[in-house]
Amino acid sequence: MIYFDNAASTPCYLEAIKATQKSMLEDSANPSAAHAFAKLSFQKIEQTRALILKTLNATSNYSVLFLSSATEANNQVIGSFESGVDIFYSQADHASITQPLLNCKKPENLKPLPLNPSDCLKSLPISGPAHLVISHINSQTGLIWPAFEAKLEKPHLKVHVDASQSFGKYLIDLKKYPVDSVVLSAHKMGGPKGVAALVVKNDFSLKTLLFGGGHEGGLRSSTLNTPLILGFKSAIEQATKTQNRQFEKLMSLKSHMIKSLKHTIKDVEVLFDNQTTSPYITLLALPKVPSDVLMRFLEQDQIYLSSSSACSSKAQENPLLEVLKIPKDLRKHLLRVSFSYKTNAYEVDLLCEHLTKHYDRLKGLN
Amino acid sequence: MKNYKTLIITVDELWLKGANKDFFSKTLKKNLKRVLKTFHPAKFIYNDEGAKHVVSSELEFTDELIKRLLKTTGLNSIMPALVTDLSLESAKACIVKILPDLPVTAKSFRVTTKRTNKGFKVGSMQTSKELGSIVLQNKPHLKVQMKNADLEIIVSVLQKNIFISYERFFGVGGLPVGTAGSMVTLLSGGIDSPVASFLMAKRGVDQSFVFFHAHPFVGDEVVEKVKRLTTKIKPYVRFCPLHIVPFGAIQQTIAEKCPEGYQTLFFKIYMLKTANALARHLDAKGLITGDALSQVSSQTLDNIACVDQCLPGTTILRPLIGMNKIEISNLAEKIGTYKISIEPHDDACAMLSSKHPVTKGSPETCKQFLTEYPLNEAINECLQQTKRVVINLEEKISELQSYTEVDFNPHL
Repeated sequence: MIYFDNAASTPCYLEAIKATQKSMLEDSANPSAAHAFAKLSFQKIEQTRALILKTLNATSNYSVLFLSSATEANNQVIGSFESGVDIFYSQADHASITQPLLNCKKPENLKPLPLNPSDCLKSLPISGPAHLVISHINSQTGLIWPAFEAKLEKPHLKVHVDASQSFGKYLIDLKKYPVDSVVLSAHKMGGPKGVAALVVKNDFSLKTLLFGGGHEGGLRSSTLNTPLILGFKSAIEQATKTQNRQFEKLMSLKSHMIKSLKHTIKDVEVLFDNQTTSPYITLLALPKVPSDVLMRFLEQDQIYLSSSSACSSKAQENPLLEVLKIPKDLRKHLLRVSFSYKTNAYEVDLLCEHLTKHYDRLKGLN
Repeated sequence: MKNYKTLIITVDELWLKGANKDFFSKTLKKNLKRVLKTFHPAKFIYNDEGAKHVVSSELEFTDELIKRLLKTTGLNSIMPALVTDLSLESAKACIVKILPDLPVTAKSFRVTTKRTNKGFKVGSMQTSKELGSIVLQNKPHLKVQMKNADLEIIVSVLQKNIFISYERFFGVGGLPVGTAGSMVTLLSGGIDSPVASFLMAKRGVDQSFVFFHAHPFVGDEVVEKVKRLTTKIKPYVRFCPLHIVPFGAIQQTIAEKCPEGYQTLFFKIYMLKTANALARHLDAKGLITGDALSQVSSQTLDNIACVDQCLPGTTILRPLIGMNKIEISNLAEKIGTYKISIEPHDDACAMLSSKHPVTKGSPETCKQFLTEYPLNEAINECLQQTKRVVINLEEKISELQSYTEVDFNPHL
């Protein structure tokens, strides 16, 4: 099986699986309990918080909250914003950002950013209170947003960054770029599903979503999920160890794939090719064959990736494609290829070969 | 509506049947008993008195059950009834018991007596008169009215008992499924084919369904849709196992080889050829399609003629042939399939067909293509890979054994 849908979810590092399993065997206690056995688990969780802060080069004025998902974290952060303050965001961002904004905030406070990330900074206000909420790397397009630079240039802005697609892949330095809050998702970088971390400045007045036993300083009640948190920890250790090497490798794999496809498929289009995108995410358009058909043909070869047209007419209604100003006739023809630490040249070559084979045979049908 | 422990069931079209009466009546009984056994949580006694069937139980029959029974084809009507002995005195005592249940809104009434048991010596007219006067004594505000009365109290004098009812619910009528033999129905996921199936069920045809799944050109969502449609038609059509035939590869071959404009027509011809091979295996007498004349390009008179000439000796029934779209849609609403049918689903034709399909296909071109590309092996293979599912009365879906070992021999 060859897997190219890593932006949706990335396979777990073997070490992370082992760490999770080990913790399930050993850490039976509720880490909030008062006895010594529980305190062992508690300490391991504290070590994970410390590792996260260290990885982000964060000073002691940040704290780490564990939650179930990046979606939960984004909802909690956005829910904490004072009403009446302008919020700058990208309409093409992940639904876990746009939906809480559209559902919970007053429309007059919502300020959409320009489509092109390079126009982002100059459109931000030069003074006054305002929020910026943005994914560092857009999960659909791979476009990189100047989320951290924004804080440096406009320190008066409160900046919330969803780093789900960049943590473990890009260097994030909170000392240099002191944004107000960052979300990290375990399952997008080789950790288990079901756990995420919200890193916030200590003076961030976060509102509570889940009330209960008062865990996480009263900000998020729920028994801490020791095994998943320790799996996350292990994934962070693995990812940071090889981060730079991986980045270089995937850069060259991406350009190899694009070159190779452009050679074999004359009409392939690489979207946002002229802008800076993550080496982990590539958005392709294959004009003559709907991408869901290609996806299912590749499925038969056990190659899995993501298509823009999930079912029937839904693709045309997908507001993201509209927002990104992707031409109507291409909207059902988008394939997202997303890499991980596991991706290698052999797999990329196989993808190119099979994609070309199917495209060549199918494009003549219509 | 008040729930009673007895139902009088009248049979539709039985008077047309002469010597076969018994067969039709028994088939209806068999079909109804299956529904009763599944949905009535108590024991029941079923008496078949020819044109009238009587079902009685210790437990009242619910509205739900009656609605379900009304979907059984061949059933004309159901009357929930009170039962009493074969005497006028008993009937008088019985009609008093029904009075509190009568709808308060009624201003006028009549009593109709149907005396199939001629051994009962009091005449129909007199029975009606005497029972009517009891109603009047107890409900003085009611007025007797022969025509268009608000309320009709029906007194059925049968072999062993008298039955009194004031409500009558009509079913879909026609003939019981299983009296006309079996056929294979092509389902597409659209509006028409479930209606075609319903109309043929109403004429007594047992059916197997076949859906041609153009995977990988379309996703599996459409299969779920067709399963849901099958569930909706199920109450009318008895067993109706659904065959999901993987057809994408054959459609791709056709699209690659066929003359421009003929794609859709050929898809249809090969689907029918495949369905025909399946029908032979199932010992079915022919095929049912949802064609309506000139509705789409593959349903023009010329193209229907092409289809028939390519499949000589095959009986293809097209019950919607003379119907307008609105008429078909109304029927689809009635049987509950319309809302499911209009849900959007992937259509392989968009990707595989010409934008300008032929409307006047040439039978010679079609026959020549069939001779050149019989695709018998491919058809045999896709039938062997067919998934068979059956949906039981309680809407549970289970998978049947596949045909891996069968040789379908799809030669025409």
